[in-house]
Amino acid sequence: MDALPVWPAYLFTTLLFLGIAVASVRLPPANTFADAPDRRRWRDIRWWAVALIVVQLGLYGVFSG
Amino acid sequence: MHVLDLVIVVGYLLAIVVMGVRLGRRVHDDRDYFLAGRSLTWWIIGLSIIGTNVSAEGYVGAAGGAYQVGIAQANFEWVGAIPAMILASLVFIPLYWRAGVYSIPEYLGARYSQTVRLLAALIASVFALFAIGVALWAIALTLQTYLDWPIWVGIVVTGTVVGLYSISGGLAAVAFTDAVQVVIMFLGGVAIVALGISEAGGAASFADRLVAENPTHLSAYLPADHPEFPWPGVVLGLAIVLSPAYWCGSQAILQRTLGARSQWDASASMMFAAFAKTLVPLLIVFPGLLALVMQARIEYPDMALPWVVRHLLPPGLSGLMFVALIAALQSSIDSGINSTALMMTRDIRGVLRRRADPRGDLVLGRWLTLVILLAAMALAPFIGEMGGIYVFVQTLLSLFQGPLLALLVLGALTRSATPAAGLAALATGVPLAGALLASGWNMLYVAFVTFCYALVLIVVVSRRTAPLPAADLERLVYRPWSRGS
Repeated sequence: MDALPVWPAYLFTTLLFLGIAVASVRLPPANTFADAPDRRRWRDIRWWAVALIVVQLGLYGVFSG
Repeated sequence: MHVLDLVIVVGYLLAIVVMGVRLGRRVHDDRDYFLAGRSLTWWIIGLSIIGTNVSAEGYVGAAGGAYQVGIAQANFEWVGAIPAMILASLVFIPLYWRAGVYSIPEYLGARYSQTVRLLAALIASVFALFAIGVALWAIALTLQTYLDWPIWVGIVVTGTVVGLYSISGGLAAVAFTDAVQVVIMFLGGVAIVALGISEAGGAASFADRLVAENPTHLSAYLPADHPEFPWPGVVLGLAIVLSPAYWCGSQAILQRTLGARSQWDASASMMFAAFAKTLVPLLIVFPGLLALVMQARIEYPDMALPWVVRHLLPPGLSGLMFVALIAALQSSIDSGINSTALMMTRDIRGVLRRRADPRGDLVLGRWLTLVILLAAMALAPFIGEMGGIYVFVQTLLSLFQGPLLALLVLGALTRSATPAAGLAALATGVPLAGALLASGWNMLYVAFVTFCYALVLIVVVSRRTAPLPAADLERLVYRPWSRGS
């Protein structure tokens, strides 16, 4: 395992974050709004997750050198 | 220390105590004490989660780590946290909320058996006691470095301040003071980043100077044969096992989400904390890189942050940064004693006595908070003599993360995991991790192997033993992506 190159780490990270983004978006809205005071768009935490993942992918892109 | 710095430090300590004691007037029973009367809003909880998470090793140790290995240290805040925090927010927090539990051991007790609950609470309480002792030792060392206070004075003063607001105000005081502490931490961190970049002649110049002599210091992943952070270990051990076990199973972290005023606030708080977590490397990784760029003459990597504070910040700001460091340590101590008191009151005494007593639990919880704090204060002076105890404790903590995560994942997402299988995985997975560690395995690989072992064992044993009745599993299993869940 010590001889593995580094690039699979970045591939794994990208696939992991993309997988979580897809899983988050596919979550039924009723689950993410459970107990919420209202259903305004900003309260949909699925999109909070997507925004987080975009930032993470950007960070790993910048520091992939 | 400059007079202005001293005024800031004393003012901060007084403000924190007054705030905590005032919140104590709202506490009437154990639900108010341990879960803040289920009244906390999402952003307060989110800040409190970060305050609890950034601890002694987070602040001083991570800056030292970054000094040695570079930006790869930030993996603990990024891939080693964010995926697990999203998982906690969307799956585990709604599950715990629906189950109506006070603690993670209580959930494990309902999902598997009271023996599993007792075992999980005992393991977590013992290690929490060590962790609080280490945090007290670290804060006393910091006070000695900056103020020349003897170690015992630092321990007594810190214990008194934290005890006053934690014992009187419970989780609400802990959460609100944590939130203030995190804001101070970020203010101090932003000041260091701004002054550091300016000192280096801009961001581009900073990066050029850094990689000139340290070519891998701006690479997120290090080679597979790196002795401390091999990328397969980071990916398999940290991202897949240790991080989800921490963010989905740590009582100190999750207790404040169970004190939220609604399920939405609980889930949103973890997502908000994840945004803040993304920025945490600015506070704890950047100073280590800055010390390299500024060619700091330091004996040990862990001296990177104190060196930067002392040489970069003007009076007033250095006091603020000192407060930030104290705040990071205090927030770990207050959360640790509150969550340990909860587990000892409800998950150990409650299981052994087999009856609930909300008023009695409040009184006992307050006394136990004091006893745990005093025990940790008594333990703290010996931490230094033990040498390397902090790394030892962190390694021990990782012993049960693999089996714990397997119990949580299969317990939360499937109906097939049985009580006997859960007990078998916990009772044999921890010794297996100990054996692998003793034979020289890297901690990150041990976590991954014991997780896989516990997963397989639970599946195999569950096929031969009786599951819980379907009606009992209704509120204990959550499959948010399945139709009708």
